[in-house]
Amino acid sequence: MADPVENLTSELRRGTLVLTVLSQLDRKQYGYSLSQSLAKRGVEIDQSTLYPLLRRLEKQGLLESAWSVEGPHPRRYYKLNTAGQETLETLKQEWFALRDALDHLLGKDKER
Amino acid sequence: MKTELFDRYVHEVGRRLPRRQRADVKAELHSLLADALQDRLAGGEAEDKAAPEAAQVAILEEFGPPEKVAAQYAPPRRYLIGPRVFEIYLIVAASVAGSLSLVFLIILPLLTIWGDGEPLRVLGSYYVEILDDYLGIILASFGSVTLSFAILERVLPKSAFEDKEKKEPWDPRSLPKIEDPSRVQIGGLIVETVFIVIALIVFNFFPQWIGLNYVASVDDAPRRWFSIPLLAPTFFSAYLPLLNLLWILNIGLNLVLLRQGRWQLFTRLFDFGLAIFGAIVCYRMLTGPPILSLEAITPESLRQAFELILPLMLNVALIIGLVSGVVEAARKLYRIVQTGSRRISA
Repeated sequence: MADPVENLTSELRRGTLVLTVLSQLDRKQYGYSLSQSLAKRGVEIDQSTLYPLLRRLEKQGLLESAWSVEGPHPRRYYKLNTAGQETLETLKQEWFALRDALDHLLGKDKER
Repeated sequence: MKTELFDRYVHEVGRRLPRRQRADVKAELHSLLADALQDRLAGGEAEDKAAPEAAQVAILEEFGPPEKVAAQYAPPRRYLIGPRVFEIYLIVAASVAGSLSLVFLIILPLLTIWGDGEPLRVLGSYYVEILDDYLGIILASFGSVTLSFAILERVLPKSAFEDKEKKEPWDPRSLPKIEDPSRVQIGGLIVETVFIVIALIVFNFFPQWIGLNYVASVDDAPRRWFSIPLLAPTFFSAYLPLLNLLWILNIGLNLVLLRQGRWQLFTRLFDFGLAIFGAIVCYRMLTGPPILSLEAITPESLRQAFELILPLMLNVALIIGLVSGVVEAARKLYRIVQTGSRRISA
């Protein structure tokens, strides 16, 4: 049986996944470069989760993608489109509001 | 650089995806794996540079098993019977089909043939009765099996198979090799050719073997061997020349394939033509002059039973042959078109 804390932590992270990915796609990136840049910022996402997620977001009309042959082999680049930018803005506002509320609930305000 | 493990991995992921998104996802996966390998070899550890296969294994372990990746790509589906229990379901359904066929097509006819006197009549009529209900029996059996597994699918907890999966770590080296669709399956061709040769010999030189061969005692006389041919003279004049032509052409094709070792466009077209020809022969046999001659069967009770059963069984077999011939021809045509379009795009 999996550790319940581990399950809850991964569930918590999963909830932030879309926002995390959208936030990095204001410039065009291919899957592997996105995975690496997120890892460098301390956000590790399973590759088997990240790449299909990019396609799902594209299907939902938030990203646009195109193949490019600039590098050593063809790569598929993803970038936010207009709907994606608007969604990102909305999600950011939601995130900040949620963060403030949680900070309050968790007593961070008192620490400040 | 050879990246055979990557090729096998992408193939395994691809074959689990819906056809419409397969090529695109496979191309992207290839690209992502190439990026990961390039990164690993450029900046990575010395042992990776010396052994690119080890680097591929490490990367694939990070990506995870093909079924997991494919499940992430494929859209969520609603299953009547999901992948967890589907393989067991297939085994059970095949066992049920096998048992029903064994009982209906082998055991009951044998009992009918070997029996004599009263038991024979009883078995014969029993067999005819079952024949009426056979479709119902098949449907009820498969319905029950399917319903049971549909319930199991919903009752089993999600974690039912998880522990087993976790105990067995995935090894990318265990990925199956990619099958070459143009390579000839030598074993299957040899077996098929042997059976065709046997059919040619039996139907042309020993047609009396195709009949009722049994031991029985009639009117309290000692038991003796009975041999009653079943094929009508019209079978030999109307159908055997067509069957001979079909079989000889099939043997010729098999010999060419065994010699060449690979399917070519010509052999595929020829094979397609033979499938059509086979379906036409089945259709002619289904609609043309009678194949069987049952007048010589004695005693009367056995003849009556066989008059009911054998033509029906033969017709069912011919309909199955006709339908499978058409389906097979369509499958072969699709493969020809697919091979052609692949060649053009290459």
